[in-house]
Amino acid sequence: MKFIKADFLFPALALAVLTYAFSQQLFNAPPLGKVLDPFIGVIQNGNDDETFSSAMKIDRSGVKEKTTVFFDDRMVPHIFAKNEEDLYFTQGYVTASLRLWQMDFLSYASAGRLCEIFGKGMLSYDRKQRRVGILEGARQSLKVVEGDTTTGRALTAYTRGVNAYISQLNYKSMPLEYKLLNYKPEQWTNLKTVLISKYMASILSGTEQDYLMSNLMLALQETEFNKLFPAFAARSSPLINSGVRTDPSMAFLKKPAYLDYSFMTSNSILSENTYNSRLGSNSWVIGGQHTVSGNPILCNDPHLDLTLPAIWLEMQLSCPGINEYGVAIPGTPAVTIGFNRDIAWGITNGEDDVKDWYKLKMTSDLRKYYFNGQWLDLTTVIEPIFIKDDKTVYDTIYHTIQGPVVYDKSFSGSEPEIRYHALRWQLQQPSNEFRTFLLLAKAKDHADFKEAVRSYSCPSQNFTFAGRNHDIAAIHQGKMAVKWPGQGEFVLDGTLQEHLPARYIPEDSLPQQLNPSSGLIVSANQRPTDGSYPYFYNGYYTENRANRIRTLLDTAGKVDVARMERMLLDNTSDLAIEVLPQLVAAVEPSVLNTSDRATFDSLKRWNGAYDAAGKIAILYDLWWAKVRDMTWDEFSHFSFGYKLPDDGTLLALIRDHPSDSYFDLQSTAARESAPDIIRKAFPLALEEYRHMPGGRGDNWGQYHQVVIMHLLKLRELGYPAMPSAGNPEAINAINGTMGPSWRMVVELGDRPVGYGIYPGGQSGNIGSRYYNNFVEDWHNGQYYKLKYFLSHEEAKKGSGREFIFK
Amino acid sequence: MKKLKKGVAGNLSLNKPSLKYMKKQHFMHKYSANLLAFVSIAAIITFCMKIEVLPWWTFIIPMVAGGILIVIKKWNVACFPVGFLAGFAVWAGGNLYYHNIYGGAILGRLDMGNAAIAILFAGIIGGLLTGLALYTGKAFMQERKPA
Repeated sequence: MKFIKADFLFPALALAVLTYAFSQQLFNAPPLGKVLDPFIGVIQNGNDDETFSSAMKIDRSGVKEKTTVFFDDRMVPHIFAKNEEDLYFTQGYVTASLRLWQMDFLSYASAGRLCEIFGKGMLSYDRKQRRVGILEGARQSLKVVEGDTTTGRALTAYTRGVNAYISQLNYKSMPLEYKLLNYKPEQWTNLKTVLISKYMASILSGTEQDYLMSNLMLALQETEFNKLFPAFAARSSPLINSGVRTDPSMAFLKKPAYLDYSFMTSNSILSENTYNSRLGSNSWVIGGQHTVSGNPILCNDPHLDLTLPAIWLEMQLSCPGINEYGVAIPGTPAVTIGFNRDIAWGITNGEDDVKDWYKLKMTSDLRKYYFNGQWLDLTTVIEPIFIKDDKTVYDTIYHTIQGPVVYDKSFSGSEPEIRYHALRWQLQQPSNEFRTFLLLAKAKDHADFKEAVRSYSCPSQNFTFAGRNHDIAAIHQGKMAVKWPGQGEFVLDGTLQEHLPARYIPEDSLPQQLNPSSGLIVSANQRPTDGSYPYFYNGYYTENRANRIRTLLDTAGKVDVARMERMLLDNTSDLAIEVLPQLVAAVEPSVLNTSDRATFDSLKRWNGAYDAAGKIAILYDLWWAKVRDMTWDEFSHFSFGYKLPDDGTLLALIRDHPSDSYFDLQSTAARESAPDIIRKAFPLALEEYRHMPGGRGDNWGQYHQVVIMHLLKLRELGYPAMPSAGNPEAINAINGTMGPSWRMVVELGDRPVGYGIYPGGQSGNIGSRYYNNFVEDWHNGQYYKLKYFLSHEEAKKGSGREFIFK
Repeated sequence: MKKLKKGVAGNLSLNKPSLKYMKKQHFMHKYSANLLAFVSIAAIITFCMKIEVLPWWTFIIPMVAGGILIVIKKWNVACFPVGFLAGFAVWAGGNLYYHNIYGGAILGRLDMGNAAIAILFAGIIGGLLTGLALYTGKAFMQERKPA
């Protein structure tokens, strides 16, 4: 036997090493052998038509009766089934075929399982997700969802549909993101569907400012606190307006007796809140008496983070008893926002504060906590966190009667000041939001609508409604705890029973209205009631968009769909219209030089519209920002995290109390008034306006660009930044990466007529021509006519491709 | 390839090929042998890789076998260079081909430089593995031959 020589050993070894290396994920690079393989690698994701068609042609035994899926020219599926189970099975299948990676990824993100994809770099994120109780809340909710026949069957059918799609996938046909991240789709479960719902609840109700407001109350004391952070805005258009005088106990928050510096001793700098309190939405309904056709019109545009793939998937779902059209959240059954033959519904975020921290008294061994006069045992839950290519981490989470202890000695997270606090967040409670959407699909009138939304718990949402029978309505729906004035506004005392809400506002007492005499309903994240509402509640409401909508509708006369489409694109800030006269009145034009005067005159003529082509809006924004900074300069001395008073409060102060001490600049010996600082701010703003840093552009559109990122934040998979009109205070609330995620106008009648668009495309496959084909039209303010087919035959005639299941 | 046998044309001195002619013949044989090997290797790799149920690296096995065969059959093939070029052609060419027929849907999202790097990298992976596999097969057989 010969010895093996180096002549053979070297190439053999090199071959083995290279083959192994190209099969593995090395550093951040995916396994290049597989990914760059021309026959199964990422290049094959460009073959979307064939991959999609072959997926649709596979025989599936998952449906009981013949089910047909028509795709129209925009790749919108129109599913016609013979029974509900087949309908939701097919919805699951078709949704997965278009958006599998997105829905799967969101379920991982929601559950706190990103370590399984990205490795231990995501451990803090995963631990936080587990510790705030999202996964546990989803598990508890799943029991309720599966215990309900309607939702249990629909979710199970949907899950079977998703899994039928997954089972026919191979590496070649797998979505590109799996290839890049080197993992495979796992089996879908009903829990993953619930997790998607909890994920939406978390981003819509995640804002809380308990610590920040507690510190402000202590620093400012009652009178100043209520002056700067009033519960009710000076100008508002609440959903429900009784005209009755505001209950003083609701309008003026007393400092709770327990809230003092000794209670807050552990306070430190508050970290930035990662939730976006500016996520909002618009919806309004116009009664038939105000429309050209005599039929009610419903408009809606939920504002969310704009991503690719988009958060919405457009579709029509039809079976005996159901024929609905709208947008669904991939991973969940039925349509979330849309219409059927008899009703249309829209949604805006309720903005209620449903997330409260309780300061605990615990023993040092973390075995007991003090509550209601006695020491109770802390319960523990051990969460295994699986980590890619690493050992599993077992995280022990302590629970109290209020909720989980999110931060402790083993996990300080990004918010060390709330260590040993329990978090009570409504999304932790078992709930069944799916029932709402499954029943809305079948709803025929207002009574059905009310019944459908009854089970909606969290996040609180404003559901707007229009019926073919000319009813219009809205309800501020969600589980709202009955609180004493101020409860939940500040950090609560975890040792006291009375700090724990014992019940919810009864369903029939939730803010709601049916057929108001004005014939108009406006919902745009404003405070839903005036001060006569008998229950205390708090939240993160904004009034400007609702005021603007109300102003436009009040003066519109008879409107039609085209007018409403334009109104959704309105760039005018109600706040700017109110503020500008106050600013320009303070400046004496004669003291300005010719050039400055010309700019000043141009600003004076500005109508408050943040149009892309205009420039002067930039100067207004700079000027107002400087006035804001100069007025609230006292706040910069606070040693704790704080938020500034609302711009509406500042405007009211300028208008009504121009000599208020807040206008006095801390840095000067003189005592300034509001006009003084407005005058001082103008040349500073003008200087900045004329010397804007390079790249910020020379008009509002370039200054204010909209960015639509891929969920993985990979530049190549996103959409290039676009110059954009709009402003967070305008109806067209585009701002950075956030904006109207689905614009919809529906007019009911013998046959509902709908128009809509979202910034994205139906396919989640970046190789598909339907990946982002709506973005340009959305950006240009266009709408698509929604193809709502009344029958299978109509759909056959009016759509392109047809696939028959079974 | 067969070596020229001594004496076949030696008896007919008038027809004796010149050295230049012999070199040309030899070159042609070698050239055509390498060309044939290039085409065969590319075809075999493509065939293997098109069987999508197999692992992506399956084409390596017939390449090693090919290297062995080259020695057994005494084909005059430059294993590594020809293997590298064939592998490069299939991997880079395949990506380029699908890039074109799918309208640049994937690589078109990258800027030109990165897209070119991706294609080049694919070619290098295919080339290295194919060339090494052939060479390994050849080296394996050469070791077994008596010194």
